[in-house]
Amino acid sequence: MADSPSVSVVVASHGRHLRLRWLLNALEEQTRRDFELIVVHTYDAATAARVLDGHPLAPRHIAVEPGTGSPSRQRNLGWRAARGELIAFTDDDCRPEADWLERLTAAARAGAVVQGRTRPEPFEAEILRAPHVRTLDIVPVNAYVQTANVLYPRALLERLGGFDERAVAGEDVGLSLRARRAGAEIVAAPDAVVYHAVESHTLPGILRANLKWRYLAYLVGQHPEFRREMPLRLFWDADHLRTTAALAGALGARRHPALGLLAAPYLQRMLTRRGTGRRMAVAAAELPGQAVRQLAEVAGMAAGALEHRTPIL
Amino acid sequence: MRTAAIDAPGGDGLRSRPLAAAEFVLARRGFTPGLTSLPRLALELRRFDRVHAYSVIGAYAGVRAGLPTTFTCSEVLERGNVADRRLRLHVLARAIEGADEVIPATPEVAASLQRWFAA
Repeated sequence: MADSPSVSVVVASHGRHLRLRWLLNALEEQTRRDFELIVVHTYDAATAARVLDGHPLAPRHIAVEPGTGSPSRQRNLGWRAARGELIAFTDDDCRPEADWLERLTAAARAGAVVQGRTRPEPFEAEILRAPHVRTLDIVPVNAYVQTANVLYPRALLERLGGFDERAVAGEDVGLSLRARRAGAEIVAAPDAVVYHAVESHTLPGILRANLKWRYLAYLVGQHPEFRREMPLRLFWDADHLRTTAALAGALGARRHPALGLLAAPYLQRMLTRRGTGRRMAVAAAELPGQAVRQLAEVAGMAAGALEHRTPIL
Repeated sequence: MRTAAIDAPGGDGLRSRPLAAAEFVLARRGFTPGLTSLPRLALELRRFDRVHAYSVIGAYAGVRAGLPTTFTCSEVLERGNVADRRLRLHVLARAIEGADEVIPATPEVAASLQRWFAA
């Protein structure tokens, strides 16, 4: 490792001190051991002392006041305090495989961003039975280049000015778009694997958690080129397109029954999302909750579009 | 001062008794075991001033009841069992971090509590 560039791992953490501890455990087992770890968090002194100082890795950590540390600000504080020529980002709800950092840094090229593979945590696969689940499944290179598993050259971060601290959501997407705009290549490292937590939510809980996605309108406003990744250049993703079409079909079918067909792609997708046979019955039982969630997401996106004066649903 | 012993070895005191049929349904939906014993434990704990629990669900019931709780933990924790089911992490974290005292039953349990819960 003597000839390879120095590397720092930067983690932003908020409201997940136990998962952060588990991440430290995974980082302790890395095959590449010559890395610096910086954690930027919102925990009180007692929690930080217990979870961070008391860990064998004893990472450098920076505390920010709760409510003042958006993920963008936390990550900017982290990489600016780091000494490595390469900056690897992962999240506090992730568990890197033991050879993650070795493989991620092995894929590094001058000036390029490296994106690794992110999969749902296999230890938490049972939780996928819940109706409302949040996790990540990313095959690199994707359009979003999430901070769950990515490596930036420090020089590139400095040239780009780091994460946009005005972005409440999608700050990692914004950074990757600016990197692309600056001519940086995004390289895939499919063998650098990180497992992402699988977390179940109640319906009110997932509605609250998803409120932040309305700020994606800001991202699209700042980066109109991202519309190339969006269905019809208007919808955030295919689910939003299907949901909006289904809503139009449900409303229009009273006057023109044929319009009800617009709901078909949505129903087909929702009823088969868990598989076939008996699983379809489970999916059907979950349909009302899923519909509420997706309509709320689209409505939130519409509110964001008005706020940021850019069309997006 | 009346102390409720929950799931003590030897069978004295209160037992957490899950409802088998309801547990089956919850298990199919990915929930952690033992949740259906909580309502009855909550009722029974009204007669007590303190709790000494020998199970995670018992300690969780004591913490939720707002009673001073001692938790004797005999479960070796590892990454594969700290968040493997719905509400498992919530129940485990409340039991360990909410208890007034956590007593590891063995040195192996103590090491696992330190590693995964910094406790």
